[in-house]
Amino acid sequence: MDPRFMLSRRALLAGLGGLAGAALLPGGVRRAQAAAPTRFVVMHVPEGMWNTAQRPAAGSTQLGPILQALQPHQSRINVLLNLDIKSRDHGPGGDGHHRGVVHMLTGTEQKDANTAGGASVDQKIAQKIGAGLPYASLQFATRIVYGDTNSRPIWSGPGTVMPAMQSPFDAYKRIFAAAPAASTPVSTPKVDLRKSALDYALAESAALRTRLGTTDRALLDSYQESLRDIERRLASLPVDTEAGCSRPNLGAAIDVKAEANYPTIGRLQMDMLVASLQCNLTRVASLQWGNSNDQCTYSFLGVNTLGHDLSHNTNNCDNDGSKKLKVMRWYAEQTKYLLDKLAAIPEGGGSMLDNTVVLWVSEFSDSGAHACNKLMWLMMGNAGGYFKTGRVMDCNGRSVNDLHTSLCNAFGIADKTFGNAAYCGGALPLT
Amino acid sequence: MKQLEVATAPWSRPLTLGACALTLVACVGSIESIAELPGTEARSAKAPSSAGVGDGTETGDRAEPGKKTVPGVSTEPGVAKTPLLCTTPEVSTSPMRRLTHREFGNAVRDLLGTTSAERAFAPDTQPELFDTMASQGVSSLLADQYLDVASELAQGISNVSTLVGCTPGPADATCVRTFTDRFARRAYRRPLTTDERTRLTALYESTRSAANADTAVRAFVAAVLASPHFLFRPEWGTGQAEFGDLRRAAPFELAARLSFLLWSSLPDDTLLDAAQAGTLSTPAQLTAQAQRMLLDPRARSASFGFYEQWLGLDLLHSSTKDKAVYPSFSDGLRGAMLEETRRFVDHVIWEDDAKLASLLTAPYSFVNKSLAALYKVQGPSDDTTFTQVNLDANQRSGVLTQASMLAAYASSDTSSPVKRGKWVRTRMFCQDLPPPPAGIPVLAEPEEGISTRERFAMHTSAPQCSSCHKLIDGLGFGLESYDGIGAFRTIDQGVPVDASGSIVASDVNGAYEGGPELAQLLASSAQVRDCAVTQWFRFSQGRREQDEDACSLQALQASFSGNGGDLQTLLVDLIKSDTFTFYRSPG
Repeated sequence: MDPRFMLSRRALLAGLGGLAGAALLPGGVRRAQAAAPTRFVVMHVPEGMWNTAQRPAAGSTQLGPILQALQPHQSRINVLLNLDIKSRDHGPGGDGHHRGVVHMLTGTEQKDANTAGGASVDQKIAQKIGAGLPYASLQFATRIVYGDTNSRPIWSGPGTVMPAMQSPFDAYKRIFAAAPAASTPVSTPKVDLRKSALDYALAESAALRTRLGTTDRALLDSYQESLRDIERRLASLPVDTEAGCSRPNLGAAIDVKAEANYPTIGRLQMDMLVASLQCNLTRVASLQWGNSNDQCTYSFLGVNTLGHDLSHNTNNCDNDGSKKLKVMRWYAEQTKYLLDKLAAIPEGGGSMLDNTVVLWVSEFSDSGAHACNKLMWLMMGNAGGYFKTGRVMDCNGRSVNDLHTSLCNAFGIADKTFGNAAYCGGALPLT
Repeated sequence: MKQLEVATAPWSRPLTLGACALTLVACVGSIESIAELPGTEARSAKAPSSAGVGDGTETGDRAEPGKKTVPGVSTEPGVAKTPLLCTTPEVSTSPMRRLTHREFGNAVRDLLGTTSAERAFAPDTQPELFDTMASQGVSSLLADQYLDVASELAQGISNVSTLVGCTPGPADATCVRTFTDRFARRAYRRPLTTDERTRLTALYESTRSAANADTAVRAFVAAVLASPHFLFRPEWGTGQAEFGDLRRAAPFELAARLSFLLWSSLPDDTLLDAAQAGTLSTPAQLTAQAQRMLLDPRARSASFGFYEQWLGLDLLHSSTKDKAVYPSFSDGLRGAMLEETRRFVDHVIWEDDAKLASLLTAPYSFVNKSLAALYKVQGPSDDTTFTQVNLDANQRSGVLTQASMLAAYASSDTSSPVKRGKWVRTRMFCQDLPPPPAGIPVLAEPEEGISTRERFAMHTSAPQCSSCHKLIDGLGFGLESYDGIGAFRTIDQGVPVDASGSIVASDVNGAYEGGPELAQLLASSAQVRDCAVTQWFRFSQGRREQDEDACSLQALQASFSGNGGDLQTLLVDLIKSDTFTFYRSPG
């Protein structure tokens, strides 16, 4: 046995990264143009974003009690009030959680009872701006305790879900260990088991495919296409860059399923997300906080009631002391952490936040009523100056599709509609 | 839309409702429709039960996932069931399936002797009860994970010579060839084709010349584990088409069907040898193999995979309780609750009489020190020891009244009659409930002096609400004697507990009092008995029953009823059914 082979390059890099959190990673993709790339991030929070006086008022520059933590970033934020998921009552699907999650970013009827009918807006953007990068997009999540359709907001096309990485530690292995630098002095193994398995699986898939009928072939194709995606990524590595970027320092692995670790895992996933953008490994990412049917009791906040029960059992969101408000304010604090990180990375004349749009969504306003209208969504950052920010806008029941059209336009997709055109009224006046 | 299995009931009228539902389930349907429900005559013309409850047609297009009508179950009010003739075999199509994450873990355990079957795969989207019914597609993330796991397992082989059975090298070409053929036969559930052997040999040889023989074995193992022939279960059937477009499942396909049903894993060499020798086709041969396999410990752990999903125990893993309300609840107690039910199910199925009725009504259970305190019985003096004890028959009866179930189907700070009632209605009666509509009113906060039951009852007292909640609440209220972690109580929020319940829309309609009586009623219900078979059918086939499955399912239910609900025999019956022995291409 070749002893050098015992420690694969992947393992070595993972080890190095784990030890030296701030080590410069000379990996990343050479930037083709001087202007910093624009990026898109979508963040999903469970159980709604309220419909109360705690929201900021249209026209105000004060973000109000719920979003108080974000006040320092107010000039770079648009609060969009009263958006509506207009497709949600149409076509197959389950309850409000189920439909809301699947419809809110796709803007169209579901393909069937359990899957979306089209690509979500982040995936549409990824298909436009993600080409040539190791990952067209990356999906992060914290503590999804069961995997029904309620926890599936991201779809690359009709029926094809993009599951999220739930462990930042596994994500680190996948994303950073697979992005070695050309100059890193590692002992390259003579044989890469992963690569030879990939080649073999592709060869056998091609042979098997010819023997299958249409139905079975579609299932095999999902594997074959994913393998090809990995093959393309490996071909783009190792990569070179002008600017360095920092590998996140995750520290020792902790239980990603334990509720007590929910805040920590969330922060580590945000670290991973930002580092992936910074290292130009992707330009589109998502972060999903828990199940849409919220299975967290927020014991770390002293709430101790299941988020889902909290939604249905209380109607006192107007009360400053309510548990629900506490939870919502906490999510605003987490969002501030993400914005702070992006704002701390200089880029061009500004920061990475300026070149990014972070879209904060939930499928509900009043989650207790499963109300998919009167939504409050936030967009943060301005996509390199494309959007005017610093506003609280009343969207007056406009369709979320119209926001998605605006977002597509910002990322170079000239479409006039998004999702099902029947639910579209043109881009929102955000520029 | 599906109807409740009440073939002659003129009860179902589509209607559109406004807001009227609470926490978990919806109210769709009318008060009249429920009031008109007769006692069901489920057995009058025995047919598979997969019925839904309520018309569910709030908008007319909210189809439930994968629900198809089966013959013999009328979906029209006032239309009698058509008796099934079942003169010729009929089966639904068998699309290719991907190994579930559980099956993958078991398979690599059996191939490589790894002890840990847990693999950190992205969870599949699972809208139904069972992982076998989850989405099958492979995302880029999952493909990455497959490659990671394949290469890590191959890299992790501690002693290549032990696995291979010789020291691989040029001098031992025959030995290596024997190993690769045997390993691949198990992994692919059939012998290698010539082409496959050529490709694998090329991989082995090129790796050996680039590195060494040990590395070549590892590369071979990683390649096999990433192969679509390992990860998927393609089938083609064998011989001429019969009965229209049916073909017999090929012997190796039968071997895999047997092992994935009984072991949730790969066939062993004995089974593959039988397939290769042509001695795995007759009902007697299949039965003999099934009986052999049921004696293997793998059958116990695999069947528990079914029971824990049917019972929905997974939910307890992620349940967090309010420490102020339930100070005794801890990760340790949670683990003990799960262990209790695991031991209980294992004992009923494999040590006791394997009867469904025993699962629902057995007077005993298994407790450690903490559980003994919860149940207020004498038990072991430590938490690592579990002993079998008889519980107070006035308080406990079978799995329904175990702490695991009662704690999982509760809120963090109270019991939940709705979660428990829904559990019984959907999992025990196989009756689907429609999704809740928008505009759900709010449930009051817990308050001293108002029992949980009253709080829920107030919430659903409006006629439109109670029409649907009659299906749920009458089942959940009977379990109000158990708090949110399953402890028996007589007082709730300072008020005496009212554990009177009632069952409607079933073949065991009527009033009852408390958990043990509810368990007895369920155990006596033909609908529940049929439902147990339906659930096993869904688990084994990885899908809901379709029209073409009606005869297979009916025969299974008749046999199950005839043998008094024997859950072990049900497995043997399953592997003899037409659905199991025939293959029909999905096109």
